[in-house]
Amino acid sequence: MQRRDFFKLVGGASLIAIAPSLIEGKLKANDGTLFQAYKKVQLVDAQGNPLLASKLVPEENYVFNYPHVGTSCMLIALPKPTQKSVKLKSEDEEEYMWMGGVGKNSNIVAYSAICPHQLTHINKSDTFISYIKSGQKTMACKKDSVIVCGSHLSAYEPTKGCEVIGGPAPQPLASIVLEHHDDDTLWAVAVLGPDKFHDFFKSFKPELKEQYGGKRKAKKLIEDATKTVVLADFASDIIQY
Amino acid sequence: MKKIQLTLLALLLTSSLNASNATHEKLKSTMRSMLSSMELIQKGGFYADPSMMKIGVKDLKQSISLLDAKHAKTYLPQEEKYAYKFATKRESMIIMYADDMIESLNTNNMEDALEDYSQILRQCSSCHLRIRKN
Repeated sequence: MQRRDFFKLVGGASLIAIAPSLIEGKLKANDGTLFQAYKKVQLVDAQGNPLLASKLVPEENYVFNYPHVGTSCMLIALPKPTQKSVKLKSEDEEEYMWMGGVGKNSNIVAYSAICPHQLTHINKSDTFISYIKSGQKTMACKKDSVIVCGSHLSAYEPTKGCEVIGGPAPQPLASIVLEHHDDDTLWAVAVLGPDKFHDFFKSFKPELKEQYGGKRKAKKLIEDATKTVVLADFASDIIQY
Repeated sequence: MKKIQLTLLALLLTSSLNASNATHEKLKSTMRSMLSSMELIQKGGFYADPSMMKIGVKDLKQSISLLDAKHAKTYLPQEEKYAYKFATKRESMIIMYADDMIESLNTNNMEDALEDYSQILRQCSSCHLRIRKN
């Protein structure tokens, strides 16, 4: 190896170590799908202004689309800091590590809003999947501050990478990897865990046509920024059990 | 007077039970029709016969319209009435996939039509998994 090539290699590796969002592509687990980096996208409000972590209303269920135009995700500022370095397992027994929430209090999390059981998801007309605030009751489990899929009552623990704590879901919700910058802005950079995007696009063709003008348009990757709004402004009907 | 009141009460109870039985029987008959329609669509798929599939879709939509015309609360079991929005959502999804199947068949896209069939089946099983556990 030439000295110049060696320096290029070392330089590239250090750059990636400093800023993980510079990786665009797959970091392969055994099946190659547990971590997928996408284009770094800034979370902005409905007017297009940067969304600031400190301005998030605690326990408000926010929604943004990422990494595809038609795949919705939940953003929540939890009432307490999350656990760190949580080991999770996919349906295929593949292990992966969820690093924890971001923000000053390590309590801001984001998850894909597609339930891995039967692909229940947030859409513009209604949602059966949402965050259950502290003090609110759910039929899915005895806890509050959880994410519940009301279709078949699966419950997920958002402080632990959305591991399954009740119901038939076979694996955690996929997590959206967030970055919190010094200027308090929030950025989505990757998807961690087994996502269900492929099955989702295959299954909801007619719905995607109605809501996004077609599967191809819904499948497009988000560029630069994604609007983040409260769930009530995104879905007409929020159904919780 | 007391006897008359008791007789009236008994009559009221009997008629409400009869009404409930009638609703249940009607629901069972609608479900059986939907099952037959699904079997016809599947058969059409196996024999690559789009017209048979279209007849199945037409029958399915006709059967489901009987459910759709009523509020889900009227036919769900007492302990599952709270989940009426879930049942209504499954109905609307079945109609959406049925319409898409016709569109797919009209454009000779059998693969998409069969995907629609499997999605309809998923809606049926999803509802049975949650609402009808036996």
